Amino acid sequence: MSGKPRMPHIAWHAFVARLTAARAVAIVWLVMLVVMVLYSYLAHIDAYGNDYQALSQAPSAAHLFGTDNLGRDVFARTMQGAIISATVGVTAVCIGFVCGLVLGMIAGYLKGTADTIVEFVCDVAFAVPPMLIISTIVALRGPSIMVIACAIGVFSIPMFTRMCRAATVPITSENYCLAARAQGAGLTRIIAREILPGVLPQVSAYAFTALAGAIVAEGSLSFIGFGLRPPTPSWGGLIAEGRTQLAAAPWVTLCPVAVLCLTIFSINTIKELFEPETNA
Amino acid sequence: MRKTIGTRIVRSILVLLVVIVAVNHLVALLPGDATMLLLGQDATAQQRAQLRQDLGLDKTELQRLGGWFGGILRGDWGTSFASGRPVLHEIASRLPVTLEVVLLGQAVAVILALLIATFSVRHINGAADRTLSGLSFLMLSVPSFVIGLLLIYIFAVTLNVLPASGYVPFAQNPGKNLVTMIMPALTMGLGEAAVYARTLRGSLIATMSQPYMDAAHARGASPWKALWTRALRPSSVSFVTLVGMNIGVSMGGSLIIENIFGIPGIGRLAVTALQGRDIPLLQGIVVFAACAVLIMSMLVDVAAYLINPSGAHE
Repeated sequence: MSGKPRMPHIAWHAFVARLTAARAVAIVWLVMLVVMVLYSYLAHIDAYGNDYQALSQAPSAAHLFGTDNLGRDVFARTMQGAIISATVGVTAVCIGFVCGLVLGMIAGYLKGTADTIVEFVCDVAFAVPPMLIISTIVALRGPSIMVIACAIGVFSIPMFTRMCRAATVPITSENYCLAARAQGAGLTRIIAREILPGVLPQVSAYAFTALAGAIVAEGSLSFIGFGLRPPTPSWGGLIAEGRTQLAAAPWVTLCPVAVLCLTIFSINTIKELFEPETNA
Repeated sequence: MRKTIGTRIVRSILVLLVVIVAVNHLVALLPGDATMLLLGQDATAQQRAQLRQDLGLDKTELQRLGGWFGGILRGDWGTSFASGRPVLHEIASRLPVTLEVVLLGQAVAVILALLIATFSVRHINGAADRTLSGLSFLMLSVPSFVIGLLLIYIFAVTLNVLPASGYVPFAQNPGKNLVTMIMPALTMGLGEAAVYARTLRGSLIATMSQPYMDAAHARGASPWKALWTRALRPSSVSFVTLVGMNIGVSMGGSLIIENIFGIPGIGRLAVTALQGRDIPLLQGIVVFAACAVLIMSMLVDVAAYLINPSGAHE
């Protein structure tokens, strides 16, 4: 072990050195997505309005992703969906990240009873299939962005906790951690100053996986009909709606599908950029 | 090992107890007056009182828990609102369907993963390995509802060779049953195969550097034979764990696949129960799902022990 890890900082040369073609594609796509969302906003493309002169039209310059059977612009709806997916995804990951980080560090550092309790609660959460419990909560509570984000977020806490705990345990026996303890540092101080910098890279890398997972979970939820109510265009909802028009107007489904998959791919790929370098 | 299994069983029972207690609070998730939501505004006071009694809302928390708990032990998991039939009966009647989807889907995934992983490791870092690794990484980015939809688009809409949805019981017409199962099994299989193949490839690469692999090669075993007879078993612990856990989770949770293809299994039952806010049925499904997960995770532990009794190279 080469000394205590410091709080991570961005080193551009190291960042560029790890850039591969796939990672470059991923970054370019995410930038493009942001630009497209901004464009659809600034150009005031209506995501809800119906154009009865243009029903089920194939993609063209006027409608980049075509129109659906109600004459709505699929591009504008997909971009609106991007904002919903991002909101749900980021909120859910924040909940899981913060709670998981704290619980994991406490369980890993204190061990004993605290560890047993945290592990047991995680076991309970893992015992129920996530999709089943998340759709149950959302269906009973009523769909809103916050309910969906919280349900997904709360059920991502156990995984974050396990990752963080596993990363914490080896650090607790490091000399710098023992030294801090010998000097009389309290729990908060040891966790914040000694353990946090060491676990942050691994847990942050997992946050990307969790973000992709949260976006897929929201999509799945909308797809089986428990997501945000139509006409609100979430990605899963758009894909589900377009399903009935698959034969006549495949672009209504395939365009959001492509955007969703590219985004998940990009998040998964960029995760590797932030992953701690393995010595393998 | 016996001691480990013992503690695992005790732990699983405790987890299940907590799930049962937690599930008893599902009705509390309904915002506002539960009877207003479930019956609508036009219900009479008598109907509301009846529903309160059915849901146990007229009892105290503890009485309700006692009733629900005692019921589970006696095999009385309550009565479905929608069908009026016992919850346990509803779940049991859907179980074979879900079991068929899950087993076929996992079989597809396992076979694909074995082929991809062994082929990749045999040609490690070659063009084929990199292509396969790239493809399985791409597959990780495709959610299962998208895989299902694309399969429908290709095979049902464009080529028109497979039915888009519908289910024929195996007992009624085995041939037709298997045809309707092709796309659901592929949907589950393709998605999971990517994860499995990546896991197995990683473990296989680690095993290949073990001295006994060199010994096998030195004794003249062909690379393929060494791979399949020597390397596969010690490499398959995390692979088997993953498959087992996924089987457990999908028993109560293949909501998406069963809904895309209209298969009347437990996932479809859960969605119908959610749509109708059929609380007793939902509670039953959650408890059943938890049982499936816990039993599978114990079986997985036993399997891991049988594969690698010494626990070496873990």
